[in-house]
Amino acid sequence: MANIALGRYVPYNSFIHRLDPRLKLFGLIVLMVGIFIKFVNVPMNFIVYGLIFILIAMMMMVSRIKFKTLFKQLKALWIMITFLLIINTIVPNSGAIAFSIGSWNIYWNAIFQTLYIVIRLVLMIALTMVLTSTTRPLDLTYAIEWYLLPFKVIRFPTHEIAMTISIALRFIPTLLDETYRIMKAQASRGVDFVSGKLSEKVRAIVSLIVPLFISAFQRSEELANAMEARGYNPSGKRTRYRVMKWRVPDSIALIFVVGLLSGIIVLAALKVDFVAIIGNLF
Amino acid sequence: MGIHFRQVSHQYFSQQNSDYQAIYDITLSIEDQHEFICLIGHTGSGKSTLAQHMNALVFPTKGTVEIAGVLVSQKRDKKTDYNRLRKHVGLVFQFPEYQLFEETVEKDIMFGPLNFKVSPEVAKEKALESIRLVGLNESYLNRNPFNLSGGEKKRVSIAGILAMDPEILVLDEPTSGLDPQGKRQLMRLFKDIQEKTNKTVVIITHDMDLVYEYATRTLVLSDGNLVFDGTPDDLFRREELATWSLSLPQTIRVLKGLKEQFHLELNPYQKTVEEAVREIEKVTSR
Repeated sequence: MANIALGRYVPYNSFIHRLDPRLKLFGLIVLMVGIFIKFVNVPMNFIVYGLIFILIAMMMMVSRIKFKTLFKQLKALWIMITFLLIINTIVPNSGAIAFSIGSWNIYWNAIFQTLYIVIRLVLMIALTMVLTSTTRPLDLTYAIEWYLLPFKVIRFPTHEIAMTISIALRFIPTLLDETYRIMKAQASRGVDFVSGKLSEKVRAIVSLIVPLFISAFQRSEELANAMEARGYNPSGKRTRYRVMKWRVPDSIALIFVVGLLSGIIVLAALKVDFVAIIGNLF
Repeated sequence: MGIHFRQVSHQYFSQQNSDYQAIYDITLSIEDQHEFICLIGHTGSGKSTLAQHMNALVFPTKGTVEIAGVLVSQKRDKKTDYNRLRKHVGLVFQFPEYQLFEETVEKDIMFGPLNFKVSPEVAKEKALESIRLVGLNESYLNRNPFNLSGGEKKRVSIAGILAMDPEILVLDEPTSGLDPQGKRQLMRLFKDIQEKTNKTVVIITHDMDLVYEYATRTLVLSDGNLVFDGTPDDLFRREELATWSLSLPQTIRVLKGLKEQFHLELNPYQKTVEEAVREIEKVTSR
């Protein structure tokens, strides 16, 4: 239970940590688009996935994320993989048959489709982990707020939304601590959170959720009062303690990321096939 | 039976920060009758961690705790029902009002006993018994716990633990957030409960006045070490009080001050304000 810290911000001072959160958010989206592009044939797809994985692994090394944490996060994927495989085999398919169980044909296509989805998922999770463990949640909301700025013209409450997100993020650990505390208090009253019949489990959860909600509401009221007492006005203009600054490394990283995506798009659009090229050389 | 700590250490593991050792090598025994123990120490000295070991909410990382004859060690034994131990040792958390969740006080008090498979009729009786024990009358039983005042909520949640009829009652800072009068009332209540039921009561507190007045035994933790185990009379005569970040109770401080200022021949070790007044009168009337 205490391991929900996966993907949580880890304060190091690496190159990636120092990058501007706006760039990191943009980079995440760009690279994700790259992951979803399809190529000429199967081996080409795997080659590009491999290259992207090497890139992400390098980013993880630079930002000092342990591969162990990534694998821990992937554990839950097994259910999804089997589920996807089953769905993909049921859906009508064509092409070469890999093997058949009785009259049931399993096509190579189905297996590859499943593999693609799994690889994409793994890559996306790894990428997101790089972002969340190198960027403070608050910085991330500032970045989101910055991207939403153009919508201010149509009276979109940019600042309010950013504030709501940052408060929500800020209170996740607090509420988690609170949850553990209430769990312990109820365990002292004989609640068994681990085993028991379904009806007992439901009761156990009710005994946890009701106090949790009450204290969350209380907290939010206190927070609102404290903010008002300090003169908080959502529509007011304010400065920041930590100002986001765009520096040279950010520009370099931006060029790199955009270049990478264009490269991937070009490879896909021109239907480049590395395997064929290498084959032609010999 | 009681609780026996044998060289218990506990370390908290953390992913981001370095690991933190809360208590070191603690050996002590708590009987399940007649004791009124105050557990004191500065913030972060490991009091709460020690208290949570007493009903197996937290497992030692080294050493063993024996609770009501059941051995609790680092390894979780699948066959042992640790839940059962919580019936023997009732632990009331700091700000216990956060554990209330039922729509009536009676149901909330009955929640604990029902979890330990007591029949609803008996649980109802227990609820009535324990609401009286904490100094409220039965008219409270049908009220909504969320409409009570802070002090009343505290009493109701303590009644919820008392209804489980534990042999040992452990309270983590039960008096925090109350006014001085409320504190005294609550302490008197615990003393009362202890005398009426013969249970052992363990209280974590920062209030030296209450410790001196009520405790029969004090345990002092300092940086996770058990540095003192004895009567409060002994404790407040110790030289090391300051190094343990403890202060003297009001009565001793005032009387010591008077003694030095006016060179009076009085005994500063008086437990209550009344006794202190009597001592001063005795000396001044001479």
